[in-house]
Amino acid sequence: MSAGPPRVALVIGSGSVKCAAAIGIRSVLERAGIGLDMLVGCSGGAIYAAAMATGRDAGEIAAMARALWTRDVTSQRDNAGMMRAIAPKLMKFDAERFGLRDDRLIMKRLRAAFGEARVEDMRVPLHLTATDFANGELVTLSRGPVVDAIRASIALPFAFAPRRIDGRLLVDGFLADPMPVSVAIKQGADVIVAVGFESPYQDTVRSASRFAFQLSSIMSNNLLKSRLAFHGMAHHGEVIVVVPEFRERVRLFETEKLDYVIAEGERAMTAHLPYLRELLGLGAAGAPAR
Amino acid sequence: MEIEIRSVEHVTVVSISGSVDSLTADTLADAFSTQLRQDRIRLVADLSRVLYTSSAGLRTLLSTMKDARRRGGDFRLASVQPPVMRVLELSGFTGILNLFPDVDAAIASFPAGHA
Amino acid sequence: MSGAGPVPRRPRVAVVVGSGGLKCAASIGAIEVLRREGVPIDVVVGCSGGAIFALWLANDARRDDAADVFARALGGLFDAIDLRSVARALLPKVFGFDPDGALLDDRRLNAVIRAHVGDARLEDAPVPLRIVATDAATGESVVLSRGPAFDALRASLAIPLVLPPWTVGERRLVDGGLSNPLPIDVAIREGADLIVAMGFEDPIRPEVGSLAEMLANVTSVTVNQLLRAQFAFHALAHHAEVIPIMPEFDRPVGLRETARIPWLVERGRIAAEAQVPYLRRLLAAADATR
Repeated sequence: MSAGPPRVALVIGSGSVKCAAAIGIRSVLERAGIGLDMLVGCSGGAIYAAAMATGRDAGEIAAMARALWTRDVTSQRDNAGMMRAIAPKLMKFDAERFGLRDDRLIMKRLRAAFGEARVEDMRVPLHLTATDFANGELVTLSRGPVVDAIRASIALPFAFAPRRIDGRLLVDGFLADPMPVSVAIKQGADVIVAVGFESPYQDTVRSASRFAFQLSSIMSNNLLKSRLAFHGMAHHGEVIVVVPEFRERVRLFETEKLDYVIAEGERAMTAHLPYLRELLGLGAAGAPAR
Repeated sequence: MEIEIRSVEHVTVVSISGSVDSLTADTLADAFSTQLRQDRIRLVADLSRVLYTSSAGLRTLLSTMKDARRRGGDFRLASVQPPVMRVLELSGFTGILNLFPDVDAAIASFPAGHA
Repeated sequence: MSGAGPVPRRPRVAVVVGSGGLKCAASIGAIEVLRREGVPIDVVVGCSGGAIFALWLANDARRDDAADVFARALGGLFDAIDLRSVARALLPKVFGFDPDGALLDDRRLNAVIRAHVGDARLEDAPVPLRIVATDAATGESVVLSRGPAFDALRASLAIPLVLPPWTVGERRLVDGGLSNPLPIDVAIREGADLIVAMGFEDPIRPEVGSLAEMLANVTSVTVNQLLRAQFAFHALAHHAEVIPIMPEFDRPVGLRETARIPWLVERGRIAAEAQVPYLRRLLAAADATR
């Protein structure tokens, strides 16, 4: 181990289509000559982290996101799942297969995008996170098929069924930590650029499921802040938190707003660029000041 | 609390016995920082005989890790006992520190080569 | 208490009793150990179920079974909850839902709390007392330090889907556990040097046989993560020594399981005993320098 050039990690937390801001962030870094040595993705962020790790450029990732992330991936009701929910005694409730939504469409699209690619073979070291349903702990997926790892990372309870990987039943990574900076710290990153999003609060709570989501948003947002505060203190290097500000509302599947989201990501990252350059010892012109 | 220090190739192993808490943290911190200042930046803490750690103890472990990493090295834990493991889990340390089942595994985890 | 030499004055000691439903009764066993050891207590903080026992402690917890009786009465009231109605409520098109309502009429519960606290006010407790609730509109943590103990307890206990929110002043408040399940930060702000933090994690059900149990597991994961994240941050961020008393429960304890109270008390006692050696050394070290 040597004290060579600082290793830069990009951590993309959960946030559905807002995670596309990471595309803008990476574009700004690339233009500044700053390469990424590590990618960490959670939930929606896992898709973008994996796409970046395959070496796709910004345009390709945006096109992939548009094709992949549409409302119809979660509009396919899983009727058997619904039945199991209503009458668990009639149809045996199986937590392992329980999801109100059918995942065949999302799986088909993920396979179209990533094929047989494996996490450990990516051009840039990649780590995706999920949550162990048995004990609530963060699970880091650094090997195995990318499609499997993403499917686990986005396995939002009640939407998609959990995913079993290596004997563990995994659900959406955001439950353990919506923006897993810890993984970057553990994997030896020096400068960590992190982008994450708070869960939106509901305008009106007219159903129990919205109420349940409101509660989980409250707790999850508190978790996001607590974990970030901890990791900021615990890391030996700098954690640069990029916060895109969306003046327009961006709904979970509004890929029509992708360009807007990407542009906001660029804007937010640009604000941090001078400091980041200094941290990395780069001069104003982007060349190392050594 | 007692501390024993030994070198195994390019790694320094610090074996601790007793309790790592506010009453002992400074002594421990001094021992670690002495090693780091002497450029011994690959540190392994052998915790097989540590049965208790407090939040002050955690702060010492963390500041040692940060110092080691800033110098291009690392600080790794070996043989963590169950009561201490529980505190490390509760306090988020298992997510950020590298832990190993025994000292040999921790030593082997450092890339071979020069200090 | 960072061990930087002789302590010039006795450390200011806080006891924090976190959320955890009926499991908070374990604090009875822990508090008995603290009293036996003669640990002086300068401030008490309580959240949700823990608020009941925080109130008891701040009012000079006596060796009678008042808290035990109280816990039993509360547990009995929760018998009225039908968990399956919670599950059905997740399918709003089939069954209606009212987010402001509750599955339990709170009049009986309110009567029990009133009988227990009478007209007592928070500021009249012999030991300074702080009760934590959550602002239902913003998700922020709210600290109550003055006013009727009834209002504070009722607000902090307003567990979603179990009890309706409670308005205190101009704020609609709910369960403190949503924002701050283990409010160590409140103790820090009160100037505590030594914080005994009683936290009650939710064990995850190993087998999930229904939607309701799956929902319960997901909730447990979130609450536990938030509790740990807050413990982690505060243990690191301040000079104060945080002593965790977090009993390990091998299986979930429902709000109704009052028969398990003696077992809970014993788990609390065991968890406290594990911290006694260090507590004794700390207090002896403080004594030795005065």
